[in-house]
Amino acid sequence: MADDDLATRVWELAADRARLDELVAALGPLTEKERKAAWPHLRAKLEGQLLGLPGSVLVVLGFAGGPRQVADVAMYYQLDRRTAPLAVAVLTDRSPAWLAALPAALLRDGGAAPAFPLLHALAQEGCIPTPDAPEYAMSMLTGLLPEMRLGAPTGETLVDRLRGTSGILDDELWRLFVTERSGRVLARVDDSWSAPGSEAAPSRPDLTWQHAILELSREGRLERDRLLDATLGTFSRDWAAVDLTWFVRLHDALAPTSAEVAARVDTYVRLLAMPVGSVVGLALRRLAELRPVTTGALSSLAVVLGRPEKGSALAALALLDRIVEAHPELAREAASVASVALQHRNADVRERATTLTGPPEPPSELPAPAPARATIETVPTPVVPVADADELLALFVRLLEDASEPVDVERALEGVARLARSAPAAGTAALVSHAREVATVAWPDDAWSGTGVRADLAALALVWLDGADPGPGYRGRPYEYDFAADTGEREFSVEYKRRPDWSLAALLTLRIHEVARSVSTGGAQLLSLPTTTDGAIPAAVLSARLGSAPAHLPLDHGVAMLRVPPEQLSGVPDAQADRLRAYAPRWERVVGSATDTSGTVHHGIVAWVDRESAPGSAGDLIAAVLDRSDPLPGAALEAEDGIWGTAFAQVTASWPWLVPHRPDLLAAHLHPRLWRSLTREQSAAEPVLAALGRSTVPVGPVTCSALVLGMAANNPVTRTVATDALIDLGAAAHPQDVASEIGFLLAARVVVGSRLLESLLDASQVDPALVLDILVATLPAVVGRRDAGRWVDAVAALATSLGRTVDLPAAFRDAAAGRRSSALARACRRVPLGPSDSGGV
Amino acid sequence: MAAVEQVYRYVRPSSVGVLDGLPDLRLATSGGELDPNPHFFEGTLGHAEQMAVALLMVARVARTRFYVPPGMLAAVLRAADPVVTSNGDRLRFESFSACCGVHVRLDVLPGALGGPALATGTTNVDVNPPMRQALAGIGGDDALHLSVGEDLTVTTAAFSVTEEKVPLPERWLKGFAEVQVAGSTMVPVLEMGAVEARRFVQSLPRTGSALLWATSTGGGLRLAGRASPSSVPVAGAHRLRVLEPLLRFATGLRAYAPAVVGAAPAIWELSLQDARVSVTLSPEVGRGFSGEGGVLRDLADAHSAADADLVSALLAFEPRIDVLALASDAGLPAERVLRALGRLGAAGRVGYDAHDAGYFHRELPYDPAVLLGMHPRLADARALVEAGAVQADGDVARVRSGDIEYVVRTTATGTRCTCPWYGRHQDTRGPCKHVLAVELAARG
Repeated sequence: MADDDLATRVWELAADRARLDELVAALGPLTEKERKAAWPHLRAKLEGQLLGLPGSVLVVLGFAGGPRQVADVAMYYQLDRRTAPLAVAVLTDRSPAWLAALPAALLRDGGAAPAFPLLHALAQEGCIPTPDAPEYAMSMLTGLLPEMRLGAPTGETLVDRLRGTSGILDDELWRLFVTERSGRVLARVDDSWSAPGSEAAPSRPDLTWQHAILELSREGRLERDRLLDATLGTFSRDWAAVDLTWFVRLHDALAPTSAEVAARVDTYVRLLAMPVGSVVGLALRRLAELRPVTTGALSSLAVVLGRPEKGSALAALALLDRIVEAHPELAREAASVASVALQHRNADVRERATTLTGPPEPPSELPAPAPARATIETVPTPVVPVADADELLALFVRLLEDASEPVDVERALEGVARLARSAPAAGTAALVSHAREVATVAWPDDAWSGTGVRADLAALALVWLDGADPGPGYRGRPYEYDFAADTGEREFSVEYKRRPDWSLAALLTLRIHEVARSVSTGGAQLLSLPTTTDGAIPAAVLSARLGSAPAHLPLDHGVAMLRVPPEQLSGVPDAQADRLRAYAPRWERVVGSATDTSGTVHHGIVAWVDRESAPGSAGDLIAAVLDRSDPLPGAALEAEDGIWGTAFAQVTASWPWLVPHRPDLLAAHLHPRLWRSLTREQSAAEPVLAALGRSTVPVGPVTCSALVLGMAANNPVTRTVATDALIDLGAAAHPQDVASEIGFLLAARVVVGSRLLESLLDASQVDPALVLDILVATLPAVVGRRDAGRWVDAVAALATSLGRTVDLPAAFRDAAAGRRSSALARACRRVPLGPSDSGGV
Repeated sequence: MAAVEQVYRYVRPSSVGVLDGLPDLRLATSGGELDPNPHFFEGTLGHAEQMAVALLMVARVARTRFYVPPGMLAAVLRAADPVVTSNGDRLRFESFSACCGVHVRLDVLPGALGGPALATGTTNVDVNPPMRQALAGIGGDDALHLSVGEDLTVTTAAFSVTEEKVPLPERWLKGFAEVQVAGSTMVPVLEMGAVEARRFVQSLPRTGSALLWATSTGGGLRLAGRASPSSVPVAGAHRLRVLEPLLRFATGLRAYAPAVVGAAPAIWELSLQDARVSVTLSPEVGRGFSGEGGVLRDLADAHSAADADLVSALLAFEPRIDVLALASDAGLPAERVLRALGRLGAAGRVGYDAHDAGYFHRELPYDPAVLLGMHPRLADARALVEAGAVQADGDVARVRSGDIEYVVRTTATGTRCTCPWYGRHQDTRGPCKHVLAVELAARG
């Protein structure tokens, strides 16, 4: 038979499930030469048949030239239980020399789909030894998935398949308990079946591995004692927590009896010292139920008390109590163990521990002072203009890689405008080549998009060194919209809209483009280069620049004016200075809704309105920066800026240099980013928050609002930077203002209270008095909150450590005076009360 | 990425049994300078539970990838086995994370060992899953019996050699070697007791890659967003949580960082009973220790090669290398001995103990020729010189690389280049290949 005739015949048989026996019989007598000749034809057919035929695996096994080919081609074909014996027959008839190498090939790279049923069947028939690689056990998890049709499982359940697969309950199933990472796959599989379903795809907990194992255990097919021991064994295998969750669930579902726990008491005691919290919790639960109580746990409980979880620590103390109750002679030893809990972060735990230890000794241990090291420069230093074109070129080389230092950006802008007609002695070609790469990167980091400073600077470098045309510049924000195409179908497109177009991000790119246009026509003398690294220009310096420069770039002029300290503006003979002198914002907090570029409406956006300010425009930088007349409609747009970019923090890093002397105005501009930070990881708010902390002028409620939002951000780094800013500001941020913002934002359910409180406690390590003042002023706002006890506890701890008394709100005074044992009442009783309070107690 | 195949040949798997009523930890060895399966130690090891947990932690770091680059799946790789060095009076167990960003070393000090080592040297030790489970079950503060290797000449039990080949990426090998060099520039910055250590480590965020600063405050240690003179960089603070299982044994925590404050590697040293665990974190989560380039100038210096050969011949697995004594023995100035040690460090032939502020001798059990040859920037620089791509004219040199000419300019504040690599890293990761090429060409 010709090669292609053979292939055609084989293909016909493979396509018909009823004729697979016939296929096996046809393959048996073939020589290796015949198989080799027909394989290219069959492989081509297989590769054109994505879903595979009932006999695809048989064809691959019958014709492929080696184990790698089998694995590569059969990677996605399923092998059901009925076809597996036929696959064994094909290989037995063929008896290929590479059979011993087949398991490794099928199991590499996560395993081919037919790996488990095929290898299991081969091993059962004695064709190969049962593979001992962990990948084999893992392949079982996917190899026994139920067959699916139209997204729903059909045919046998997992229990049926386990019952019907010979030998699996004696061997392979138990390997799951010793195979690392099996737990996370088991959890993923089970979660997919047990998650809340829908009418179309209902939840099917009966298809989970946990259900199957419990069912088989109830039937006696899996020995219960062995199952319990194997489950407990996983907890001491030094696996990651994520690999143990499924086994913890299985253990709880097995619900060991008291007798079973008693028989394994040493194992449960040993689990108390394991690093995974869920395992420790499991051991504590079982040991707590044990009657009589075991004394063997005594020393291990010290480990539990050193853990940060409140629940575990309280459970451990309760167990200690029971041990002492049953064995009074162990009271001294138990007290020693309980003393570990005196350092616990939770006040309830500390208080509970004192019932065993007596009053704690005052803490004395603090970090040793650090040795003297090179100091960090915090005082503003002079900004030195670039000296020549060579230095400017080196500066651009750096900025094209990292433009996060605003001082370098400013030096480059000033330098390139001044040295527009100068060329570097060497290195131009390299910079131009690299600048082209940076400037032409794909959206969203491309030049003049408003989201990439590096790309803007690269385009500027090309204007300087390559004579490139700066083009029209900022395009506005990209709006997605859909429209009816000629085909009648809906299609999506992107349209750029410059509305609103005077956010700080837009102003930065507009400003760089203004410099680029100037460079293309010969350059200019900029006014705005700060004299010091705090972004300031003394009035006298600016006056001199104004007098010596023949013409000014409009946006640059505005930037320069904003950099003059407000108290010196009278010394600048300029109409723009007069406008800034008249600036007197009246801030008003608003919460509302706004629409983003995709048309989605977002609610609960906090913004600050200055109704005294006039609507701005992109051509008038001062008006644009001062404009907070109606910020809410654009807030969702500003929050969205840069979300697809890779370095928007390099954009926001320059914002404080646009508004260096008006922290509340800067904070008002930051609010959209901070609103974003409450739920998203990337907000790029950090450079601005840090700048707010460096403010040397008093700050008002807008800045306090920004700090509170930052301290409640989703990203711990944002929270840390906001906390740093609060610490840096110290008393410049009035505690009452901060407390007022906390109260409002908590009541409006804008911020997560626990995050905020953690940040405040973090700040208390540096400035406990400031934080105590803030917390005390906040207390009226937390009355009635479920987490009020935590806030009061924080007050109690700080007041106690500072030796101060506190006047509590009436509701908390009542709680302290009553007999309730709630967490709040206990916390209130821990607060050192002032004279007016203590009189009533 | 290029990889070097490391072959592990253990005569039997490591195991934990019982000997004379004590847990009996038998570590199988593979590789080393003189003996393919060296026998370093036989005796008791104090503080059984603490040491077992510490060994587990060393093994865990070896198989952990703390950072997975975007678009890459966390491949399940066979991790390299930990390395143990016998310095005579102490044993040092080391491992290096799969992401090349975390190095950990457990120093078992003389007080924990029930006797001196039988031999000195460095080798790999097998850490297999059953042994890990058995280690996790060891409890109590009593001693255990430890053997590192065995005397095969007197072993009566039958054994069969198991051989496993593990591809080790060059980047990993290079980082493992260079991480030691990073410690040589560090000074102690923070120190705290056990209670504060526990509170601090347990308060670290569980995710995030940002660079934060552990800062000493009046109320304890906290993570700040900016540096201060009393701060230590912590990039990806969750990586430091590897210390968590050991906190209950800790007697103190000390942090080391370079004398000049900045984004840099840092060492966190947890003091235990008769032992120390040092965790070295890379300056960025996504940046491993390879490519730091701190030793490239030493490697490019032909004199330092000769010095290193001389110095290495005088080393004898000292727990702390006395530089002055070595200088005297070698007839070299101390400065040249230090440079030679830096070069040896890059080849994995000495380690650095920040606690002792000194180098110790250990020869990583990998091919030293491979380790020395793994510096592509240096190789590229040599290629540029050989191709005549360097044209120097006073303080300015032009280096043609491909179609592009870069300018290397030497100023009073240093040497700078116009290439993008220099633009990104400046002087923080050693010289770029163009600067190196200019320096090589200048030396002729």
